[in-house]
Amino acid sequence: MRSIIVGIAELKFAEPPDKLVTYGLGSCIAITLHAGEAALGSMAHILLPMAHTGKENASPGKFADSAVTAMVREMGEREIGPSDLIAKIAGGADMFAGQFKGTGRRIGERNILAVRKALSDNGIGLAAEDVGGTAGRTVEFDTQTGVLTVRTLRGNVVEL
Amino acid sequence: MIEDRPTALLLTGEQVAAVAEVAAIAAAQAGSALSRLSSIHVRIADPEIVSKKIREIPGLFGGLDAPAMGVLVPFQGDMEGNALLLFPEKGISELEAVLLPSAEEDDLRRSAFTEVGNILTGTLLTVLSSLSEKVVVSLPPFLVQDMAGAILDSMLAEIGAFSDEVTVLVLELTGPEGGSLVRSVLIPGQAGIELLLEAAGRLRAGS
Repeated sequence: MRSIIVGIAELKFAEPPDKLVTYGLGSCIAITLHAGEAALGSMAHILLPMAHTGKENASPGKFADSAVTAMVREMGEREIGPSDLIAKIAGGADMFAGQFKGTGRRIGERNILAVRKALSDNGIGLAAEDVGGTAGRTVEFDTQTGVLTVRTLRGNVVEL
Repeated sequence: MIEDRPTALLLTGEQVAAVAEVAAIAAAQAGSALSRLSSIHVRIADPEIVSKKIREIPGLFGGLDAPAMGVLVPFQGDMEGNALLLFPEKGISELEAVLLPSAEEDDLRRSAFTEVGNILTGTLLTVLSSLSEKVVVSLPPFLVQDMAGAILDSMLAEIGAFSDEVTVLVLELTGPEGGSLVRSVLIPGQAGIELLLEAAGRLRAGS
């Protein structure tokens, strides 16, 4: 079993028994898709809600909309449809409790809304989420079981 | 959708040299301000100007989930933005032992450390404001203790809207014996970089 690290703005796929891991989510969100019968999992670590329209996007994993589109397309190439997928998400914290100025203000909240919309637009059910708050999160996605384990620096552990 | 906006986040070699000159002046004054606060001689070496891809920035702290302390200083005026000073956990205790030897209670330590970050960042902003002839006022600082990646996210999101790369200033604080206390990273953000460039341009024009 390997632990495959998903960095900021990346998206990756893995098969059981491997796990997909991303560290230190603040306002960013980890989106996981699990295709249980096809034994395949995917995780994206998105930074922002939406890609620039009409621009070539070299990093689809950076944005909520382009990440979900890319994950669904890749699943489709393996003949896995949206109704075969279960989504879980974690992240979207407001680390500075509203003190941030400019573009990054309330970015966590905007990311949460954008991810939910992107999943809905693509016909994917959101099975569970651990989002918002003011604490960072590290998540580990088991591609065998589809369980998403969320940990904080203060020792809290949640299994979705 | 995020609107297009000219980006000043990717600096040319000449701009990096000019910014380094300004940053060194500002860092020297910030060191003096910190010395006055602590009554101990603290020096800040000439900052390193480092440009990296966004996803590589957490590596400066030993990883995204490495414990860290961040002091966010929002600012407004002719330019509006945020400066984030991030300290890796390893080094915070050394810095506290020198600067805040009497601060034993956690709340007091947090308050005192916020002030350290505020003085450092506030002095840098004041110097840049003066050199650039732009009115920039720093707002009350906000301290966060959590994973480095989580603290960085909002800054990286702001920067990531415009660029996949970011310029940061690495500040090394040395104590009275000359030994390194801590290496901190200042992320100036879009408005902060514009302020640095404005200050650098005016300094060079006047010299």
